[in-house]
Amino acid sequence: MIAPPNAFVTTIFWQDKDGDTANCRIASSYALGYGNAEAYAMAFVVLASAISDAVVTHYTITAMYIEQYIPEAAPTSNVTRRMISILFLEYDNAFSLSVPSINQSAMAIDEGGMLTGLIDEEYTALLDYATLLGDVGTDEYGTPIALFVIAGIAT
Amino acid sequence: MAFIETSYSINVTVQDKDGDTGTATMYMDGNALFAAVESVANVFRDTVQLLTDGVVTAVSVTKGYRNDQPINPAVGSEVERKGRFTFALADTRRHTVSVPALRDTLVFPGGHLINGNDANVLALTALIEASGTDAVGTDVVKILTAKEVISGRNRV
Repeated sequence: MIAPPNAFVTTIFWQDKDGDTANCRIASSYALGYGNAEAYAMAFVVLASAISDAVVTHYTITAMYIEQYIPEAAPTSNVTRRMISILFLEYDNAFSLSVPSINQSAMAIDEGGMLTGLIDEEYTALLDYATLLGDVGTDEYGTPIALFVIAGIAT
Repeated sequence: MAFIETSYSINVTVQDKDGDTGTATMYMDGNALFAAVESVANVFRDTVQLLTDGVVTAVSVTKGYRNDQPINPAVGSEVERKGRFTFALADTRRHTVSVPALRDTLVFPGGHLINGNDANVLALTALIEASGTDAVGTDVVKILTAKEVISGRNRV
């Protein structure tokens, strides 16, 4: 069960003449919606800039959802064991994404029934993951993903 | 000053048996509606939970906005000089908002108090009183103090 947040938290990043940076945070009610948070953030940036000599370089608005019930993690779980995926964008640019503590059920097994350390490319959740990224995923600049490739497991 | 929407990032935090945490991230177009991104975040969370043998402890959705027309910071700008505004919350707790590189002209000579009658200061505090909450959603009620403080640097 995941709890909805109580607030949108906006973090504003500033830079001064020396290139030194600092940030400040404000928050607004989640119940009033994202549009309200967006309007509040923009108004805050404009008014705070009027009393500051630094420049706002960027800001972010975040909603955080916390699990209320957290079951025990599997004895095999280890977040340093990650599945790495390579995502190709238009114009051949690429970047990678990872999933921590990849499930052993997602790993391929050999003829002797032993884990190979490779990802089972037919694993249903992996197909769902690839489909989701292919349908709506982008890189951090909003460029759509063109091709999904499983690179393997990193530890 | 013009800000452009960059993208949404959806971060799913996974915890393992030792309590160590890792994050699975995906990005979406910044032009998408927040409600649609929230729906995708739920699907992404469920998908990651099926892929991992750790447990999902939190999900966050963050949208970025980048200043597309940055100007040079003022010659005297120093981010460690902050204007700290302290507000009363509806449940009697306190909430502070700090604005980096506070302009010298807003501080009364020989002290650290900010001129609360300055039009820009009044507008900013009125905005926070009208629209602000703390991080858990408790409403801001009224401004209590406004003063200049000096804090440490963050160098990039």
